[in-house]
Amino acid sequence: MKKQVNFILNGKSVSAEVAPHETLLDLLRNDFGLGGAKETCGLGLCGVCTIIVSGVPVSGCLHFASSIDGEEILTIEGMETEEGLHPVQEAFLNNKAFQCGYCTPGMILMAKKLLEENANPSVEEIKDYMAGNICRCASYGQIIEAINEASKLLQQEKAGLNA
Amino acid sequence: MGDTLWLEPEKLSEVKDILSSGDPEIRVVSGGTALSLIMKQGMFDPNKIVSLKKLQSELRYITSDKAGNVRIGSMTTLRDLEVDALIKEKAPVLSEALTHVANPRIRYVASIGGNLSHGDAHLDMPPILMAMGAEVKIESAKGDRWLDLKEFFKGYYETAIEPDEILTEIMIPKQAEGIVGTYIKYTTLSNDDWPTVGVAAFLKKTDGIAGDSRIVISAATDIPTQLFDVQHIIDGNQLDKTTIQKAAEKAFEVAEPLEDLRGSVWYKKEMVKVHVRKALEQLAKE
Ligand SMILES: Cc1cc2nc3c(=O)[nH]c(=O)nc-3n(C[C@H](O)[C@H](O)[C@H](O)COP(=O)(O)OP(=O)(O)OC[C@H]3O[C@@H](n4cnc5c(N)ncnc54)[C@H](O)[C@@H]3O)c2cc1C
Ligand code: FES
Ligand code: FES
Repeated sequence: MKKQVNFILNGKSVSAEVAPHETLLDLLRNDFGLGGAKETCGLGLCGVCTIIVSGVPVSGCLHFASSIDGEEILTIEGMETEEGLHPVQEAFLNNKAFQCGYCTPGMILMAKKLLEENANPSVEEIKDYMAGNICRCASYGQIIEAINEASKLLQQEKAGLNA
Repeated sequence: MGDTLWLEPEKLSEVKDILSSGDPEIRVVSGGTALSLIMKQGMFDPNKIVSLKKLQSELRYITSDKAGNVRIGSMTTLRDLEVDALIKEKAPVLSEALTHVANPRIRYVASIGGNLSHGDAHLDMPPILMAMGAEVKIESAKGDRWLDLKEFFKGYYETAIEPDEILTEIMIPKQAEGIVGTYIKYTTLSNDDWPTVGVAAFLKKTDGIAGDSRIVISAATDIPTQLFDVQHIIDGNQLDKTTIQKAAEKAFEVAEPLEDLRGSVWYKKEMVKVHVRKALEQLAKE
């Protein structure tokens, strides 16, 4: 039986009819045309389907669409604001932290949350936190550098706001 | 397929009422990381899903009671437990093990109640909690009951929870003075894979003599298994090379592993031996 869910998607109120077996990932791709998150392993292992649900990154491939009523959903498509790209996005570009770009949306969303929890992570902490995001092009070195730079950018931004 | 009704009750009492029909086709869901996979693979098609999402205020907590026991609500996420100061103080083995469970994305969502109720042999929380003597609270419209975790796991994906019941709390008893513990997760595929063998070992050391030992192996066997014969060898003895060797040999002898993609029966018996030895060596040093 389909269920109506009302939620905020990248800042806008939306609603959808979802089937019980449907995943959040399928809902966003099929009904809302958002292609940044992709099904790859389908098992919670690779992180290419990462979506932020009310502040928490989840594997969209294992997340029941029925459960998102009342939640705030953020996908890579919602990261850019009127002021431009998000600092984590800037840092990924500056450091060329990708080759094909397939894993990048998931990496960026995961890194965003990491830096919210830990503004200045060590390389070890970055590796631990990002361990469930796989990059087949093995841009890991650059990804770590990008997260380091994003950490600095975000701290500067914060200092600027407080000044 | 497709007729499943999704329910989001706001009170525990409502959940119990819904479950009271005892229909095995009704399924509770917490984080959904395990149930979604089973449903996606078409292995299970419940007619009703009762989401516990709106019960967070009732079932998501970590506290300690007057007696010093730790009480954990079943909707507490693995991430909540991993970073919690009380757990780090009272059950550091658990906090440490959690850093190697899946990845942060899964830990943000997966609940401790779901981890236990899933009844999967390849999980890391059950052996540790069992070795610490944890008990679980199971509720239904008929009433509540407490069960020692040792009696909770019944078989492959089978637990003592009846269709009309729900797991609501986990209680970790206060560990006696002088208890040391460790958990070794041995993986053969990737580093953050489910364990091939898990060994939880807790014991008390008094002037170098070991006592009150609790050795639980998991993942290799269909349910987490306490190795009483191994404990008999340890208790009352110096935790020296000879005792440890004897205990490890005994573990090899009594372990009854299942063969799967992570290893053959013989291989897993060997790995049980190796990791029981390593766990005890670690405790000998503490
Ligand atoms: C890629 C991946 C890797 C993982 N690796 C590990 C690992 O290495 N070690 C490890 O320990 N775990 C690991 N896990 C987590 C584990 O396998 C489960 O997915 C998770 O613990 C289940 O929690 P949940 O809240 O999502 O359960 P759900 O999917 O919500 O539920 C699981 C089962 O429990 C039942 N249930 C849930 N809550 C209750 C309740 N309160 N009362 C009664 N029944 C209930 C459901 O009906 C269902 O049958 C991994 C998960 C993934 C996806
Ligand atoms: S596709 Fe979801 S984690 Fe790999
Ligand atoms: S850039 Fe190609 S998979 Fe990561």
